[in-house]
Parts: sequence; structure tokens; C-alpha cells
Amino acid sequence: MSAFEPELDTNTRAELVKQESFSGRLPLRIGEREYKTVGAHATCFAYAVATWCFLTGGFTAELVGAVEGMVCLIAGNLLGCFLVTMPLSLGCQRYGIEQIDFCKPAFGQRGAKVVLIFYVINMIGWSGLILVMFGNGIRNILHALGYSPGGWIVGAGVALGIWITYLIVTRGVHLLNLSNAFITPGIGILVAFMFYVLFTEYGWEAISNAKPLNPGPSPTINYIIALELGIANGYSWWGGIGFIARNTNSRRNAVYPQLLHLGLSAGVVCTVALFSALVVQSDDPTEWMVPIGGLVVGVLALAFVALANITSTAVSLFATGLALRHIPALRVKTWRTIILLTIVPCLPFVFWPAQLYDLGDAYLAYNGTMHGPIAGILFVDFLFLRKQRLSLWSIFDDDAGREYHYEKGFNWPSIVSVVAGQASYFFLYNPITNQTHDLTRFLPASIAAFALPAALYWILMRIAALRERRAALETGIAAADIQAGPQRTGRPLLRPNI
Amino acid sequence: MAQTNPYKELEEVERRFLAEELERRIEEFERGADAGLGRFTPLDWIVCVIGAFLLPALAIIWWAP
Repeated sequence: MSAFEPELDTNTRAELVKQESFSGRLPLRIGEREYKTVGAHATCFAYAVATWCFLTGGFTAELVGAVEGMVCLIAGNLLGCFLVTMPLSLGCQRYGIEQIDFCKPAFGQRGAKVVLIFYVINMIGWSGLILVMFGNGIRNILHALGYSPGGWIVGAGVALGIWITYLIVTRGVHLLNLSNAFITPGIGILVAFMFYVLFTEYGWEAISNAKPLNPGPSPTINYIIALELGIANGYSWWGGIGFIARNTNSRRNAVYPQLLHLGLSAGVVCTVALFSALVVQSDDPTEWMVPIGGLVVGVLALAFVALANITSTAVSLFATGLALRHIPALRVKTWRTIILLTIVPCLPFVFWPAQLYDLGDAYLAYNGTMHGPIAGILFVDFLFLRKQRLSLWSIFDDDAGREYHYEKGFNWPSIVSVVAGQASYFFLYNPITNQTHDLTRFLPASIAAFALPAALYWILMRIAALRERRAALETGIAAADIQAGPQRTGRPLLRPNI
Repeated sequence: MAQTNPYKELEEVERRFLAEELERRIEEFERGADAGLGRFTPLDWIVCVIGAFLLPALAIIWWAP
């Protein structure tokens, strides 16, 4: 230690703790948690009522009509949300940790980085799609005002959206909170307005009789694929659930608002979007506003949706930036550098906006592949195998002697189970080609991608525990030590990963 | 003579402080600081399973073509 080692004054210490608690990874104490009942409901509602619901509703309108689509979106989203919420909410809330840390007991210190990759792909994919929606919005505003720009305007809009997002995210979370304070109520009002106009101007008969935009030949397969979109949309909340839950002050506040808003309210907003898409016969949300609201209201609504797209993207990239702090090499980088890194994968959307937007439904379904197996493994691991008890020492210590280090940082049963889950998904349903196996009539791909890895992980972990016990008995280790395990417990953290 | 980088040293001190803070917090959680976090009872589980799993699953099956 240097003789002239700098010392931290009280203010610096307080600031550091505050920073690492709210936008970092320190386990949050109860007194530091921001969300009580009203706050938890408001935050979940703000997450749920966002422009990505418009995209999901639009994609679903390609396949099914109003009634079937409504069932797939509301029931599918609620079901998917339930499967990801229960372990994540209860675990992250109990220990005040965020979701990547929560994955370490099941996946291992390094294995959790695999989950991080899925998480980042999810966030960046959504950001890109929403940015294209922003570009489409600019094009359609110009169309409504009598201009006819070329196709380049969408790519230019994406580039503009990226630049504004960068400015917002690098200026700090307070600017983000400020813009969200206006955007969320505004989107709520807009959705209510769309719902009102749809039912007064068009009526339920017109909505329910509207034909899907581009259905396949089999109504059953169309229904199954629409259900995949609904469940995958529920799984997509994986990225936001841990962040909200760690900030809530009670177990019920961690679970019920997430199910009610991320599950139910989001499904309802997706359904309003579905109705709009069916009535206007377009899956592009920026093409609904003028036909539904008329020229003046439509252009104003379009401008508002464009603005909302920017804040949705900003939230998404902000969360991605925080998650990237898990990578040791990025912990020391400036916030601007990290945000620039998250923006680079969005650049293809500037050059090929239409092509990538057309892959949006496949991407949305792919979320089922990515998050289904992880959700299944966490469900079994936290609720059944660990009985809701985790070791924070092992989560925050990279030392090889800790319980969650496993083999070279990976818990192989979970990695094998993720691969098996993804394979089962593609076996049942290929989201790129839209081909389905006959079995999907009885078992949706995203449910199989949840259940199979969950069962496989449980079996593999049981086998691993039995082998460990047998090996320990053969070498004469006492039963109490076998129960406790050979790992180091308690103080000190030898390689703290904060 | 090797030069010390004051920024690196400060960063190191900050890391050490955070690690100590982390250890303090983990010990608090181990002592049962999560006791005030409320309960999630079997009745809560029943409500969630029925409302967010069984009913949606039944709706999906009921409306399947």
C-alpha cells in the first residue's frame, strides 16, 4: 500500500454508495428501495405501456383476427410473464440484486455472462426495431403534410434517433426520468383515445370481421404462431423485471404489479394495437394514426409516438449500458464509451431499416428461444432446488473456492439445458421460415423451451449432487461437511466482482 | 523510479471501499435484514398460479381453432 494513499471523504463515500446502489450492483437495503405499492405499480405501468406493444400488436395482425389475436396477446403475454416473473421477482427482491447477479447460482460466475449476451441481444434488437418505427414516423408525418421523401428518409430517421438517444442517455438518468414522466401518461391517453375511436368510429363488428393481413394457409398454425408472439412478448420482460423487483419494499409489491402491468396491461395495449392494425390493414404503427385520428390529430399523435420511441430506446440502451458493467474490461470505461458500444450494433438499422423491420416478428419469437430456457432453469433452481436461499458471498466473489464458481466459472447442467431448450424450440417452430412441427398443436414451442430445460436441469443437478455426495463419502468426508459443501463461505471477499 | 498514477490509486481505494461496503451489506442480509420484506404466502401463490397461469392456459385452449 502506498504511503500517500488517497483517502475518501464522507461525501465521496456517500456518493459512491449511492451510485453503486441505484445504478450499480450493491445489494439494496430495505430503506434504500424506491418503490412502495404505488411506485411499483406506476413503474411497471410505465414499462408496460410503451411503443414496443404497438410492434407486437402489428406483427400479430399479420396472422390472426381480433378475437384470436386478443387471446394470444393477453393470455400469452400474461402466461410468459408469470413464468419469468416468479423466480426473478422473489429472488431479486429478497436480496436486493439485479437479474444477471441472480443468474450466477444457476449458471456460474462466467455462465451468467452467457445470459448477459442474450440480454444485450434482446435490448439492442428491440432498440433497433423501435428506431425504425421512429424513422417510419418521420416519413409518415412528411407524407401527411404532402411531401414525398424517398426511402432514404427512414434510415436517416434511424440515424437521427440514435443521435438523440445518445444525447439523452449520456446526459443521465434524471433526463430520462423527466421525459418518461410526460411520455407514459401521454401513451396511456393515446391508447385510450385509439380504443375510443376504434369502437365509436368502426365498432366491434368491423374490428372482429377484419381479416388478418398476411395469414398462412392453416388457421391452427396461424394461431400457434400468434401465441408464440404473445408468450415471447411476456418472456421479453425478463430484462426489466429484476431491476424493478430489487427496488421494491415487499414481496407482494415485487410480484403483483409485474403480473398486472407487464402481464395484463401490456397485453391489453398490444390488443389495441392489433385492432388498429386490422382496421387500417397495416402492421406499421406509424400508418395507423392519420386514418384513425384524422390529419391534425393523426400528425400530432405520430409526432408524439416518434418522441415516445426515442424514450423507449433510451430506456433500453440505458439498461444495456448498466448490464455491460458486468464485464470487467468495461467497468473502468466511461459511460459515454459504453453507450457508444451499445449503439454500434444498432447501426445496421440505419442502412437496412425495411429489411430488418420485416424480420421483427421472427426476432420477437426468437426471444422465446433466448429467454424460455433461462426462465425454466431459474424457476427450478431458485424455487425448488435452493428453496429461495442464495449465498451473496458466492455471488459477489469470483474466487474459485466459492460455491457458484463451479467448473471454470460455468455450471454445465444449466448451459447444456439452455442448448437443449433452444434446440427444442427450433425443432417445434422455426421463426425464420415459420415452419412448425405437428407437435406444436399440443405443446407451443416457447412452453417446450421453458419446460424441457427446467426438467433437464433438475435431473442433471440431482445427478451432480448424488455424485458429489458419493465421492465425498468415498474419501471419508463427514456428513456435515458434505451438507455444507467443500466451498469457502463468509468473509472475506477475495476477488470481489463489484 | 516508477511513477504512481494518482487516478489509478484513487480508483483502487474506491474499489476497496466498495468491497468493504459490500461485505457489510452481505452480513446484514445474513443476519436476517430481509425479515422486514413482507410475506408471500401459499395463498398468494394460489392467486398467481390461477390468475396468471391456469386461466390464461384455459383461455388459450378454449379459443384454439
